[in-house]
Amino acid sequence: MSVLDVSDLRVLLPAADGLQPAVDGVGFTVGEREIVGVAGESGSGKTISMLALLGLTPPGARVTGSAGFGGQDLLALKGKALRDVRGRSIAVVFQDPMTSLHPMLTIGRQLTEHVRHHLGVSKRAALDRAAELLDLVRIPDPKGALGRYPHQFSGGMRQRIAIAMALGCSPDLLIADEPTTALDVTVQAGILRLLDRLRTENGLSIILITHDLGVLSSVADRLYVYYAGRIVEAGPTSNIIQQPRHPYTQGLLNALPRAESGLTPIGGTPPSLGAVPAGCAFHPRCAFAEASCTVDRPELVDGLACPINPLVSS
Amino acid sequence: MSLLQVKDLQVSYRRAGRPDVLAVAGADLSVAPGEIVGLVGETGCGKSTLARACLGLLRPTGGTVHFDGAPVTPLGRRARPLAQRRLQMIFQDPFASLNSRRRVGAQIGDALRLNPSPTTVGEWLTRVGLPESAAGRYPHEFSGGQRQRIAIARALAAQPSLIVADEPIAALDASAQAQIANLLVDLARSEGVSLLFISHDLAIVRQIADRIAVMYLGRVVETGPTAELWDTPAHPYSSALIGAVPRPDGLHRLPDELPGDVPDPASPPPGCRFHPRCPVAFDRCATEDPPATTWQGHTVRCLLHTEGEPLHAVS
Repeated sequence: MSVLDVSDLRVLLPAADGLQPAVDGVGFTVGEREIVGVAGESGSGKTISMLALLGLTPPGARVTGSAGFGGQDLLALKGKALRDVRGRSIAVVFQDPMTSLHPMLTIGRQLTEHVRHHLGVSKRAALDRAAELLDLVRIPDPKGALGRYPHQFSGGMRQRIAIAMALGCSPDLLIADEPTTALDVTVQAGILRLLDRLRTENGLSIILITHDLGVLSSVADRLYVYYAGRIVEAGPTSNIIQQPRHPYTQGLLNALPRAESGLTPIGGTPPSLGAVPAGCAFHPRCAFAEASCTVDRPELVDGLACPINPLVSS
Repeated sequence: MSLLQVKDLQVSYRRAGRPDVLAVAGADLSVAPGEIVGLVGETGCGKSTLARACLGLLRPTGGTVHFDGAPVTPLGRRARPLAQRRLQMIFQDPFASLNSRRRVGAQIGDALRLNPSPTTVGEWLTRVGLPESAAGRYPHEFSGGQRQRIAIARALAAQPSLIVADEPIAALDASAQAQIANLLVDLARSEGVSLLFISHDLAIVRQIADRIAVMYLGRVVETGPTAELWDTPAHPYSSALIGAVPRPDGLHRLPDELPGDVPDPASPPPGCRFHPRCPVAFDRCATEDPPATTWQGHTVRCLLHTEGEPLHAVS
């Protein structure tokens, strides 16, 4: 039973020369108590496809497709119906906790506002709930923390507070967009352990967006690899990490600092919005590209969008 | 003979109405000719302050910095001493370190004029993977990775013997990080230039450095050859840093957590500065400041490695 079922999602963003596809027909599912990883370089459409689900695309953007969530199609929701889902059933944590927390409001105020709005509880009950949440994400002295301001906390603590805020209305799904990218590895380890614990103990489903396959390897159950607005490979994390099938996924793995391979960057740069090559978008950077790759756009078949399949040893 | 020799360096920042912050509190570090040293540590441990003091951009409160045998004099109103021009730098933010109002060629040309050299601006641009036509363009016309290439060309064009690079890849996209790290290291090796590579990312440093120095709260707590330090870290903090690096092996192993935050450098804990977070701390750690000792080629500041038979590496 999946919590979220997205199919054929397309997002067109306004550019200088008309609407350009930033997300070009992607589909994914998130199961109960599942951590789903979304990997890819910046500009590959990972973030914008999640924002589209929540109706947070910039003005002028066009979103098509369907996104089944709790018996509704998220993309068909408008106004109050959308606001009721956003922040309550689906919550988001962004990369930089300093931009998601208001610098001039106390932690207590920020942790109770949406809880009171969505759940209609009293101020006292909301504050008690906020202290519980801070305790859940392991903020020392939760009651005292309610009266303090974001700048009085370290980066890792701020991200924990942002996660506590997201958990305020007991959401079914948490979208975490690069939640550890700005943090030190020691702090990142704590946040990853927290996400894993929220999944096992609180039954939360999580979409974890990051370019770091090391992070995804440690917590994600399944992966979707984005390239230029499309999904090029999908499957269980261990399969993809240990035996990547798409040349792009292999390139991402080789660019990671690992003892065996060292740093082998992918040549070239990802295409920009509106300048996606014809055929397979990856072909100009692909070592295995053939003539057909420049013409035919590969569809995702059996978790792989590469008809040549050059990496499977026969 | 070390090219860069830092001894018991202390740097403090003054704060109005509050006690000074000792950001670097007695750090030792050396870089040999042609060597690539990686300096790692968490945010706020004093890495950048140490780098700036090595370059003479900050005036140390105590201790010494020697470059090529001569003390590094802090930058003042006059021009830098000629000898120190062989000490070059690359900063984290390529958007801030290049002059946005001057053409790229003019900025690299400045560096070329520092030392008589037969090379040209075009050659340097080619060597860092940019077209020669880039010389006539302005920094804003380039991406972050390309700007960092320009900064590398500018630093190398001055024919340095040591480059201090402070988080040179942290501000770049994931795909550009490996490219820029490789470029910098390859050029440093081919030119025989020493490199002090400062980063919070131990996984990257492990790939490129000959030797790693681990910094915690203003001190270098361990230095050692890269492979040995990664495989058998002697200091519990080095061990914690290595354990926290997520492994891309598909085995669903959660990285190890190091509880607590780096303490405020204005009021460091007594004794060993790491003891409040240390998983293997014992009572003496709270009172005794560990001296630097040598253990199997590592230099380490930890009481576990000071007396009698050295204990085995903490795992």
